[in-house]
Amino acid sequence: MSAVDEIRSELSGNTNFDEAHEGELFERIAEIEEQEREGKLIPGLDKADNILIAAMFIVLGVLPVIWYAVMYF
Amino acid sequence: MAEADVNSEAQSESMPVLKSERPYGFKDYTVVITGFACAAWCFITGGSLALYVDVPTALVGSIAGNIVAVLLMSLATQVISGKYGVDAYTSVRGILGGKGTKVFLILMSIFVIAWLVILCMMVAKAVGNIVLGFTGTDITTGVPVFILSVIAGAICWMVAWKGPVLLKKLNNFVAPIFVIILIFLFVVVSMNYGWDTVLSAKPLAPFEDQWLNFLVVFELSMGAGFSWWPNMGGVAKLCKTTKAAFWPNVIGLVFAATLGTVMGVAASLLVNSSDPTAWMIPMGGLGLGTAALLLVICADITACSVMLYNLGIGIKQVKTFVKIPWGKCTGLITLIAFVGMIWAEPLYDNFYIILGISSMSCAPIAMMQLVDYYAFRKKHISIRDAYNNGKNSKYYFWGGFNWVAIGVFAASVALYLAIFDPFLCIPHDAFRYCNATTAVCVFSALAYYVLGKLLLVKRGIGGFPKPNEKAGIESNGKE
Repeated sequence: MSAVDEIRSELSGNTNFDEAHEGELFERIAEIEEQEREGKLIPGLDKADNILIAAMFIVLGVLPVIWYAVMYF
Repeated sequence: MAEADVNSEAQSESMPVLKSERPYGFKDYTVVITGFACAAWCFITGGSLALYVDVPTALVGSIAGNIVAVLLMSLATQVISGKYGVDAYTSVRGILGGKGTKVFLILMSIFVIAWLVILCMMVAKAVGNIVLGFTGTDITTGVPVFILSVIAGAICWMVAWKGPVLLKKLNNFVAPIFVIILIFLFVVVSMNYGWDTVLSAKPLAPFEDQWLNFLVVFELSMGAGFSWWPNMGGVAKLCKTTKAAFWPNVIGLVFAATLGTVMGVAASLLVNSSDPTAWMIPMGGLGLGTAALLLVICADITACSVMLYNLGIGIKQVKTFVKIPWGKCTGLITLIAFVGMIWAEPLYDNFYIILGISSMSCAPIAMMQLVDYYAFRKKHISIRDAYNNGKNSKYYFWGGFNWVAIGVFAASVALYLAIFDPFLCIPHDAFRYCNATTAVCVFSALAYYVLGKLLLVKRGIGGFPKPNEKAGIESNGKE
């Protein structure tokens, strides 16, 4: 049984899609799952992104609040 | 619009988008999201912040609140939607359950209708201010402005019903129009008032406590940041990389939006009014001010029609609405908006209500999504279960509802209301020590982690990988 057939047997009639569109949905799900299995899906953020996120969060988000707290609390 | 077309479009809109089909790179998405961010809401938000703080504090508070909210929200929505090509309402099914997500979609629809009401009121006020400028007759309040709002709503419905192609073309002009208005405000403020006057202008109705004023601005800015949650997945799924889906949000929703908001604060303080339509004529004179107001009317009508169209498409994705004609479907939304227009004036004058409700509803969902995706599911969602409404879906939980997440959500709302009253913008005693949205973020993340671990992960409900199991897809294609 192909991946699309397996998805069809599992999901058919249980999605918000009509019959005309369900086929296309199943093909897309099968392709995304295959890409994920093979590690070809779009990767998430990397270490450099995470460091930059943490730095921005602290410098632009947390420190100004602490600064105003020190001045006015 | 042909019924078959709209039904087909509604279904195509909710398909997962494949890697090869995605149109937006980093630059493209930056342009799109910046245009999206620099719109009417910036000016109205600026009007609200001007009640409490001066321009320098608004700048700091707006950046701080927005960056915290946008980073947290984007780590949840952008990363998942960018990776799997699905919108926010599909990705959140693993947290709320299929039916729980539908209920949340209805709640968010009410939120979008509130936006429609505010934009229609803005159009009505703009017309009223033009009439006031030319004739001296004040029709900016009461029954006249209600009638004008209803007319604006009816025009938006006609546009959304009859001309979706025209609508999509018009949408391309909304962002440039607001950039023109932003430049207009900057030039007028610089030439007619000077930045020394702007920087020394006092807030309109502040609390006596400076710390409270800053914290309220931080709170409302977090609300502005989290209010993007419902829209984000839909655009993130069109981005070619996760970086392209993530970082432009910081550029657009934090920095560009803050620029618009701060211009709104400046104009509010100079004209002594938080209503953006009341700024233009006093600041730019009758000719230029009227031209600016006409631009505001055009942009708001277009933005409102686009929102109505998108909401209609969203509703059409629910099977019950597939057979209802497009005109009736959008007409139904407009009728609900007409009812909402009875309360439009207080809502428009007290815009902070929308920002508070945004935080209250979107912050807990975003935080639970973070815990669910990174801690429980180890950066993997089952896309086939996200589209499966049947009882065999891993995301079926209990009758289609994840009562753990719903319970945490309800408790988070109660906590928010215990700390801050979003309807009157009145902070309670605890607010001085921790603003409501920060408290809700910490509480919802911790509560969902503990309860989710005990009631979901350990009991094998919700398709979570078992403690020592690596998340992913097995060879048969299942988790």
